[in-house]
Amino acid sequence: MSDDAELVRKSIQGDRLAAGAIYDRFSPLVRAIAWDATSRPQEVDELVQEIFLRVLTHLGQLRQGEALAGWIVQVARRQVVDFARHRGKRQLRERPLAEEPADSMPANPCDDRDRVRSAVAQLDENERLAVHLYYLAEQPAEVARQALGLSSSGFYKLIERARAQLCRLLASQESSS
Amino acid sequence: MNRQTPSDEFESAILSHYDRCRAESPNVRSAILDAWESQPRATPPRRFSWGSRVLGTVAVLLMVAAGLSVWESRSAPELFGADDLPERLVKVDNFRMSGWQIVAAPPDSGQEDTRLPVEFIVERPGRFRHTFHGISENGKQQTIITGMRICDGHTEMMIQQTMSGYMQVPVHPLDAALKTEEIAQGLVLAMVIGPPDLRYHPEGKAPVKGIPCDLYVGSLGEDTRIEMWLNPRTGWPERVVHSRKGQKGNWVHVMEIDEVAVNSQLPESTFTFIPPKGYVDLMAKHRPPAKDGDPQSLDQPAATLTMQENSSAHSQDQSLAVWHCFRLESESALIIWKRTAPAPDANGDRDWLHGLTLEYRSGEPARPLVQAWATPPEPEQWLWSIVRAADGKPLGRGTIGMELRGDRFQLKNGLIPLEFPDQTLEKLIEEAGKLTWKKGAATPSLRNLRDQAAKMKPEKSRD
Repeated sequence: MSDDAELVRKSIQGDRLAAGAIYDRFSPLVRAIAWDATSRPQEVDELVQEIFLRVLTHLGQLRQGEALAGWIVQVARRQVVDFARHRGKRQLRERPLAEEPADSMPANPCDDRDRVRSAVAQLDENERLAVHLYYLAEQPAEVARQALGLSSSGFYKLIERARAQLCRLLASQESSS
Repeated sequence: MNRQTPSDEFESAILSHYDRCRAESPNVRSAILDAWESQPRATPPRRFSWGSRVLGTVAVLLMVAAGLSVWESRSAPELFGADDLPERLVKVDNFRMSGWQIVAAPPDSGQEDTRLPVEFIVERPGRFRHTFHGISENGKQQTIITGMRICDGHTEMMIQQTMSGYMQVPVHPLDAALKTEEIAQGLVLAMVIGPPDLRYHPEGKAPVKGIPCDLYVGSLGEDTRIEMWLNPRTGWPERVVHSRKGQKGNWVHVMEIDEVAVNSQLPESTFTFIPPKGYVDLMAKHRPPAKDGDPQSLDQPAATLTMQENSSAHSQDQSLAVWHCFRLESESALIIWKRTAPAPDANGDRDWLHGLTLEYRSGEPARPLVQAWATPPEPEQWLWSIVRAADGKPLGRGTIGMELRGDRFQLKNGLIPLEFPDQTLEKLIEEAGKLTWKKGAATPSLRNLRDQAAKMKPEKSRD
């Protein structure tokens, strides 16, 4: 992750290519965190936009560019918590004026991907992040150290537990369907 | 089917979900980058001029108008979180935090808890003022001693309100800067923001005095917690409450910080002390007379930096003492310390690291540190050690643990690597070098020390 610091430095100077590289490197992970909060693709896109806009406009506050990955994860988790809270309030206040367009409806619940999404969402918060990192991060143990304060062995124990739990949840879904 | 790990079937579904995360939605990337390019950059708060503030305000207003077209009815993103609060506090010119400490009455005494005013004021580079108190209990009898420390940059005053007395000593400007940072980066962070390993979690939004705030909660074990109401627009807390679990399982406040001001205009009187009538100068008779026979003037700062043990641990025949520890760069620190000279081996050489463990504590587990001498160690001299994490990664916020262990003793010291602007750090190193090295010896510069630190290869720490 040595070049993360360089990307941060250049982005702070307004380099669009560097900012784009940060987006390219971390958008799958951020998107996975966003999928934890909603099953609506449109809301996922909105969340991803909010998270990256916040990340990119606040890079100046990041003292150690090498810690970029962990910091992005923390920002994303915080935004997701806020999103879930605000959505709860919105749903209480607002009633739809018209039927929602198809692309904002939850994806087909029978889709394998949504079964996985639903199972992942049932994991404990740290287990969930560990699974995302395992499948998406370039250096999952390092990001886990930054974001969760875990040692490498601690991370691998967590991921082992999380994957076993994910397996149980998917098996349970399979048997109930 | 193996239920302990995802089967191939499940693995394929999982990979499919994560493929979806990798898939790019059209226009999202360009929308983010376009919006980012039209946003003002948030930078750590620092000294500002009215000119730049006015220009900044105009820019913000323009951006609000531009942002509305991009983001329509979406609210602007919040500006600050709790994670980097300690780092941001290191960069400000001054801050003031005040509130109340609640001292519990002795159990079954029938007395009310006592609310004591607390205040921490820091103005860099070398002025501070803070309250302190001590409590002693004898059965149901509770005695509380209150006092205050004030430093105006060249004189430090200790006021003991309970004794109606005060002491004052001249200090060198660099000593004043050191004491100021010990308070800002040590005392205040530990007492108000919490220890380095405390992790705050967002708990939603809650207004304080009508100001929309984000509430963060950090726990220290099961019985102590810190709640912080952070104003996301300013980045500073509006309120901090420390609580402990009471006997009935309820949360009982032990400290409430209700006023936080950062980079405000502090009146000169903040750092002066005029003894009230009846207060006694407790040091007057110990102060050496000046040449004219009058007590030494306190109008002038001390002539030299004081290199005395700042923290130390002793056993019957062993000692481990530290003057100070400085952060050189994000990955490395300089420790200036002393120990009882280890016994020489058959060749007359001494292993100065014998029995010594160095580690960095910023959460679990502690990280081993590797060490290099900035100068060859000698008996009775301050030892200069450069340390960096064995894993080669940045140190982050935390403390350095030094432990000296032998057959019959175990001495421990915890150090905060103090952070200073380069210019001040260079002066500190230069002055400390003059007091440490033999006359004529070259003092390593900050640059030398950083170069040496950069050459240290990550490795396993020696035990």
